[in-house]
Amino acid sequence: MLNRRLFALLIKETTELLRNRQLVIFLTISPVISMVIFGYVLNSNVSHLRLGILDQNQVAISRELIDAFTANQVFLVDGYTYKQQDLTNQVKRGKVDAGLIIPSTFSQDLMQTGTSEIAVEIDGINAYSSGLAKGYIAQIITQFNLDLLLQNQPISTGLEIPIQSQITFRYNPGTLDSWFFVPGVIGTIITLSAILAAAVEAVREKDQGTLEQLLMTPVASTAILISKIVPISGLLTVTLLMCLVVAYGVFQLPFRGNLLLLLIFSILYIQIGVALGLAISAFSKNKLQTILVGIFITIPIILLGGAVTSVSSMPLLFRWIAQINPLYHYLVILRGILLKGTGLEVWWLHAIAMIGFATLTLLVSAHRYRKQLS
Amino acid sequence: MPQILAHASFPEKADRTLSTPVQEIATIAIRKLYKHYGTTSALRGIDLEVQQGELFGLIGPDGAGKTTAFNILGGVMEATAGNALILGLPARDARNYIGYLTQQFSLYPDLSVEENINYSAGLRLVPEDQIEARRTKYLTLMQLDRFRDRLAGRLSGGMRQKLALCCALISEPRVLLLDEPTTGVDTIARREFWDILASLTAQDITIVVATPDLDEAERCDRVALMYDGQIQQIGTPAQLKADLGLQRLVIRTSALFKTEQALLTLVQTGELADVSTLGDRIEVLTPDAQLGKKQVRDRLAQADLDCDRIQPEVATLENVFTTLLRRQGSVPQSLPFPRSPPESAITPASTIAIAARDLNRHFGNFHAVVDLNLDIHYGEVYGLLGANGAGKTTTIKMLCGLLPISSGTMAIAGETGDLRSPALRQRMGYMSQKFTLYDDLTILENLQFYSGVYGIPPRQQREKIRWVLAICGLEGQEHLLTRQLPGGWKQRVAFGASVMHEPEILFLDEPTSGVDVLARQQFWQLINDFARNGTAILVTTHYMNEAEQCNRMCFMVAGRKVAEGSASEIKAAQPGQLFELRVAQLQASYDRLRQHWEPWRVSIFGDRLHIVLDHSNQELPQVESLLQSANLPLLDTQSLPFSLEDAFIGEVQRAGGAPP
Repeated sequence: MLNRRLFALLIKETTELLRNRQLVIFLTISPVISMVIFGYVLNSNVSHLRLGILDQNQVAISRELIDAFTANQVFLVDGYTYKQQDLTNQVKRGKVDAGLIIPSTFSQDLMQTGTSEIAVEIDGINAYSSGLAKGYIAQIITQFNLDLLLQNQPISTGLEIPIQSQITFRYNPGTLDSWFFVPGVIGTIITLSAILAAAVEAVREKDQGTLEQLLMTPVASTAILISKIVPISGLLTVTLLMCLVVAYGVFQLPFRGNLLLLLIFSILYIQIGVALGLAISAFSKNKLQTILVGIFITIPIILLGGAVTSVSSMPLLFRWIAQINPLYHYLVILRGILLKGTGLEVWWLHAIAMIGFATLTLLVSAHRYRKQLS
Repeated sequence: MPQILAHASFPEKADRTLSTPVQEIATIAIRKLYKHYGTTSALRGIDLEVQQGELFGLIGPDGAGKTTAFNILGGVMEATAGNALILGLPARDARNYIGYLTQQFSLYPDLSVEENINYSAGLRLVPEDQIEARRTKYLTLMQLDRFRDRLAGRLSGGMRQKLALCCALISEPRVLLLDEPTTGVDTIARREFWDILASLTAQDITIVVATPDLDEAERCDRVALMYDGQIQQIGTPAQLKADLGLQRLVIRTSALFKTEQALLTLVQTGELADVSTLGDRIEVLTPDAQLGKKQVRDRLAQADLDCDRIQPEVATLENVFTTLLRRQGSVPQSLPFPRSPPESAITPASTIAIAARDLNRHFGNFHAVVDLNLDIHYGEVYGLLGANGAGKTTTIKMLCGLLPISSGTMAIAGETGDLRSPALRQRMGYMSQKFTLYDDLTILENLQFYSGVYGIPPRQQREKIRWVLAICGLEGQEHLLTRQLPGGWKQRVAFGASVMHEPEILFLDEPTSGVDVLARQQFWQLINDFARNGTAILVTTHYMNEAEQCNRMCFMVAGRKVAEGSASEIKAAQPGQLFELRVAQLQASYDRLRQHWEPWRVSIFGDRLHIVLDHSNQELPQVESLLQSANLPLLDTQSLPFSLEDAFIGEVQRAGGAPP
């Protein structure tokens, strides 16, 4: 008897879920699109910066300097100006990202005194890319200086650069930013989808006024709870699999670790999200309220969980807060399995934390949800 | 209120400056109006004229084309063919002279009463210097002036509709189109609403109103019966009833079911036009009262049945309407419910299904239900009647175990302990006010779901689902998404879904709101069928003609039970008498009488006045002298029996009135 009732509930929930076109699209197609978009956009390599040039010197060496700037695609020459005022204006209006000013005395000073000056104006609005641009410029100038010295000094002086570092990037040899970001995006998508979709699905009964009718039937509240968790978790697992396919197919993530563990902990994380969603729905009166509360809760989870920025570079307080953020633990595990191929022996503490979170959130939200039912 | 109206500055006939000679044409003139949606035709050639100052009623079942007609008249929709002229202008160009109240709420729940009106006034370009005066005038007329700052979302249904009417009136339109304005509004607020409409027509505003409630339609000057996109009949309520050519006989008997069965044979032979059970009595339609009475007596004697009394009464508009539709052959099927095992009646240990003692419920400081006692027997249809906020829904929810009680005791189906146990729920059925089906599921999926959670065995499940589809006339359409069904049909499917498991106790919370007359009759046949099989049924409603169908009922006012008994008992227990007055100047006489008696005692019914007098011997001459002194001729006075609605309003007012 109980099983037939549960079966009827599961059928009903699944049918309703699948008939909700928007939600199904939200959970299957839009994650793929956002994966691709965010995977590419959240790319912190700086290249193709637009460079404005004011070359008042116009000699061979000044042209060589300009070539040095554009040689490795970091800067692209956007145009030449003939007045400093114009160049400053272009930077101001954002027409160029940086302006290079070579004064008319550039080659003359270099010849006569052995030193000279150039000026570079950088649009500092985007602190991140402007910082990188500054680094590139310093590097380019250093290299140019070295080349000048080598050309002009006799070889016998034996000028050598004293320390040369050999840096090896482990696990991400190409230092592809996408390798860091794609697992973050997966975590973001799962968090967002699980919390919001579960909350919206669970509140619908209240929203459309069918809850009372359902409560008047002889079904147990446990059965209702199960019927609210199982179908949505199934669909979210599909979301996860699609994200992984994109990670593998589009971004060529290495998938170095145990896939079974990956699946187990991802489903565990989905459960945490669904449980949070259920809890939100139990506190809200209607769909709109649910969505707003859901977004309000989801954003800090994502921002403080290390999906877009590394937790280790956060202030100490936030590093502590991250410890109670399930996404943080999930991302450590996800990046570990995908990129490093590590297993339980390395991140067992995070695994225990996740199991703890899953148990706690499920218990609390089941309690809340049942309380609202009775 | 009357004073305000007397000073109202509506444009007089002579002031009206339209290029066409307005006086010679009807305010609303519709000729050969057609409207098609794809292959379905909603209107199939309508001709209609409404005169200035008329209160015109449009009645018909769901899907008759009423709303389409309103949309065309309101200038919101183009007709496929034909034309609709308002004040001589095409409807679309006449929009500035029209106030249109659609079925959906047109108010902003997060704006206050005053802000809603200001918004409408702004949209309608009401001159700034006139807004305040008009707003005060209409808010006073609607008795809403005390609530200027209240949010529209926190008003009761009746107040919301009055506010919507205010918003429509702020631009002082000359034509008001009201599409089922009183749906969801309780009896008392409804009567008040109609009194307001009557006073507006006295100011030469022309009103067209659709209503599913035929008691309300009696209050119109003229009504049109619409069916299947056409106007079938048109005329004053009195004309229509006279044209029906049938008399109504009310038969009182204790053996309702057997009597109905016996008399049905007379319907088959054509001697009687119709037989139906109405709560505690049977009503028969016959072409001739005397002959009919004899036929009924003979037939009952033949069947060895006796009856207490046969009383001839005039036919109602509902009789007119159902007779018309029956001739059209559009009466919903009624099939016997497939019981398992067949025809097993419920045989409970006790005869009392629902017992409540001193039931109380508080919400904070608000005492929603006060010391309520109820005894409802198996096989009984019991009505819980009251205005909005009287505590009906709170009571039904407490009895269902959906809401904890503050104090008191309850026994449901003999169970006093855990009223939420699955075992007890299995024996109960519940249909809530609205939305009991899942919109995203098909009709079939909904029925499968409910039969699944009630654990009905698969074979019976198929049979029962077939039955629900058959009574709803939805065979072959079971794969339709539920959201696509019109409200009335949804209610029927919901009813089917809540009785498939053959409950011993059935709770119906306003099951027929938004359901048309025919479907409502079928609903009651089904309800009566379940009651005959022993189910105890508790119904809440605020339709009084529907309440007549209950075997017993009680009136609730502010959480208290103020009257209980059968419809006849309650009506008989009313103090005083009801009189119908025919007067020459309706509105003036109405205003005059209302100054002297409590406002609820006087109301306008079509071209007559109704007045309730407690001591008619002294008061009736008083009425005459009062009208005479104001030079208002009184043409005729007639005593009428109380309707249930009169009884209800009387009881509520004597108990201190409805909550605001």
